[in-house]
Amino acid sequence: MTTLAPGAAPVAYRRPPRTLLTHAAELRRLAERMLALAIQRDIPGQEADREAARRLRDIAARMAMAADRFEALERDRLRSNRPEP
Amino acid sequence: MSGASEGGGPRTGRLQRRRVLLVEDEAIVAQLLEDKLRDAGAELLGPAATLAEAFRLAETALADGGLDAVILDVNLGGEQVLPLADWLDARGVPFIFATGYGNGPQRGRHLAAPVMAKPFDPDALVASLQAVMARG
Repeated sequence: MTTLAPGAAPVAYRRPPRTLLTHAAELRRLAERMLALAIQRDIPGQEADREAARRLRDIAARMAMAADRFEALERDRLRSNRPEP
Repeated sequence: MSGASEGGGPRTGRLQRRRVLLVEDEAIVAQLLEDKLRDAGAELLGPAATLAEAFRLAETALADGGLDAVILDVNLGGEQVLPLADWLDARGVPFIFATGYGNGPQRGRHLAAPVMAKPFDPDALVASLQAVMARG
């Protein structure tokens, strides 16, 4: 626990601002991890695992598309000088 | 990748023997679309991740066997795909935009071209390809 010096104002912790670009970057990281998992599970001859791998790849791709969407929205915002949402 | 595209057996998909060029710079998305297009029976060209590569593949395809349709990611790592859309339009090759922008001005003068707004269902892309090829 931190003790404030007499008269010092407490400083509230502020999380770094999350923008559409940070969300997009997180989505891409997650998508890449899912793809890595899919590659691990894509085992020839084990159909249940292969089906799971296919679904993981599908979800990863949709996440990557959503990241594209976020980035496009941010580029549009910058172009039109709108404030951050 | 997915079962239906493996083994070299006969294909019975909805895009049977159609030559489709995929222009997409996001590898994860390109992989999924490749799977879907191959499963649908398409002869896939690409994926091209840059405008220069896309032009090269499109020119080669037109000179050798033709090109039935093209899927165009609007933004290729900061490069706009519109010059290729203009080039395809001038040669009567149908195309679809795949974009995170929705129906915005990034389509240039190609307002009649179908747009798949990301994130989209890859099966809907196959249906849209069928429609655009039937129209062309």
